[in-house]
This record gives sequence, structure tokens and C-alpha cells, in this order.
Amino acid sequence: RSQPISMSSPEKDFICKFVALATLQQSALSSDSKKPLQDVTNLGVALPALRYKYDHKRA
Amino acid sequence: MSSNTKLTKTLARFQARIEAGDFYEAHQTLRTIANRYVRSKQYNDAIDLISEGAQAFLTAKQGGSATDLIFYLLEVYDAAEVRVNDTSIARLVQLLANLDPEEPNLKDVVTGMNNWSIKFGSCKYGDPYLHSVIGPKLADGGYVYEAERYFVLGTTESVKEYVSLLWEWFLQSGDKKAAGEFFSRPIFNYLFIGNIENAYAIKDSFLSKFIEWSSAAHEKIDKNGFEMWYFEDYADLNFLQLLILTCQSENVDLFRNLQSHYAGSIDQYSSQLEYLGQEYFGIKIQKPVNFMQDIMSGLLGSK
Repeated sequence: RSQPISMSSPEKDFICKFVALATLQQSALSSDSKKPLQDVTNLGVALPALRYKYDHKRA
Repeated sequence: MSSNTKLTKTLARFQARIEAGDFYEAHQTLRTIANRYVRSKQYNDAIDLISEGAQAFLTAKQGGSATDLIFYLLEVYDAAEVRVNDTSIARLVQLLANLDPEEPNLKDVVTGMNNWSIKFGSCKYGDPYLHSVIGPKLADGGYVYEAERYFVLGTTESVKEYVSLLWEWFLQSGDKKAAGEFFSRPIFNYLFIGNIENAYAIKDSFLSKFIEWSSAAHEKIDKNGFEMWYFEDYADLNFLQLLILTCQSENVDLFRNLQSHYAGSIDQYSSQLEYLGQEYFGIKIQKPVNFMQDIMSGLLGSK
């Protein structure tokens, strides 16, 4: 399913370079890092409601 | 007669009344006896009696009486200063599991339970295991935004439940182009609370569903242990995947670089990105100066 990446799109070109740069050094946080919920004191920004209604009876 | 034998007898009488359909009387009698236990500070007996009673009413589909007793149970938890532990949580979880999601005061019940777990537990927002049961129940009742909040603060199981909800919702929307709007929610919510692991878990599960379901053109990018899917027609999906990696790096230059490349197409995320900028990259939020407000709040002694 995956094909070799060709540099046909500026976005793809950016992504490849960006990922290469970002993974050059070890990340400050590991991929499985998580703040324990006991230490969570802020939930961030409330996200706006979606434009779509959810119908729980249809689910 | 020991209090336990007495309790067993009371419960047996109570059960008989329920089975006879004598709900009102059963409810009143149970409350009277429970009151007696509470007044003499026999909290364990009161808790056993009330929770068994609530369970019996749930089985008999008497939601009103059941939820009344759940509120009473929470009052006793509070009076007895019952701490959050496996037993105290399990009792609530079991009651919740049998509660009809269409129960009119479902939201008040779960809020009551969560407030107790905040007061007598170690998490500011309540117990994660309790949340993992509250979330799906609220979703079943149609309270999706409330459910979402509990999923975010839940367990590993909640991540799967959260994806299922978003996926179902996305399919209902009938708008293939809206994939990013749905995908962005868990990504931001988990990044907000410093949960990189769950952000990645969502990325994998939501996007593999999306790839399987849609015929969106995509390629896998795999570099130095980081994997993502590049979508030709979904810049927002690309951006959000890169955002996880960027937060993980805590590198402010990468953050600025990413934002400037996607400038314009990510305007709707400005307040979310501002928050992440502060949390992961130490970028101070610049508040517009409001001179009059500063003077007023200075005078009134508030912040």
C-alpha cells in the first residue's frame, strides 16, 4: 500500500524534511510519555462544538 | 442479633416488597432503616443497605427510586468520609452499569459520583476508572461532549471508546472532508493534558479506520522511528500528526516552523496552539493590555 515518496508536492516535501529534522535528535518526551492524571491540574482550552449533531439512538 | 443478620433480614424483606411491586413502601422503609444506621454512625451497614436497595430498584426498572438511593449513598459516602479505593469505586461502577442511559437525571448522578471522587481521591478531576464507566454511559445517553471529557480523563479502555464515539459521529456526519475536525479533538485533548501516548494511540486507530473506510490517497512516511500517514488531500490530518511529534520534541523552532508552513489553514486552531505553545514550548501568552480593567481589578483586589 505504501509507495516510495516522490517529491511531487511542496507539502510532502516539507513533511519529509520536517520529520527528518524533528527526529534527528532524541525527543524530549518519549512516545509513551504521559503525565499521571494525579498531576493534571489544567485541561487546556475548551474545544468548539462540532457542526454535526450526534444521534445516539442511531448508533 | 448482630447488625449483619439484622441487615440480611431487612434486605430480604425489602426484596420481597420489590418483587411484589410494592415500590413506594419498599423505598420508604429502606430509607427509614438507613437513616437509623446513619444516625448511629453505622456507616458500613447504611452503605450496604442503600447500595443493595438501589441495585434492586435498577433491576426492577425503577430508575427514579434507584437514583434517589444513589444520591443518598453519595451523601453517606460524604458523611462517612469514604475514600476513593477499589471497593468504594466498584460499588458506584456497578450501579452505573445497570443505570438506564435514558434516565432523566443521568447527568446529575454521574456528576455526584465524580464530585465525591474528586473530594476523596487524588485526582483533581476525579477517578479515572470511574470516568471510564461514566464516559460510555453518557455517550449512550446522547451527552457526547460530557462523555468526551470523561474519556479524556479515563483509562486505556477509554481511548478505544473515545475513538468509537468519534468514528460513529464522523460517519453520521456524512462529510468525508470533516475527518480532520473529528481527529483534531482527541489529539488536542490528549496533548493538553500531557498524554503523548494516547495522542499516538488515537492517531493510529482513527487514521487506520479512515484509510480503510475512505479511498483517500495516502503514503506512509517512516523516519527514525516516527511513522505517519501523508494524505494528499487532507492537510489538516498531516498537520495534526506532525503536531504530536513537535510537542514531543519540545523544540520551539520546530513549533514555529510547523505553524508557519500551515499558516492560514490552521486559523481555527489558534487558541489551541497558543495553549500548547505555552505548555510545551514556554511561549508566554500575550494578553492584550486593558488599562481600565487593570485599575478596576486593582481597586477591587481581584486578580
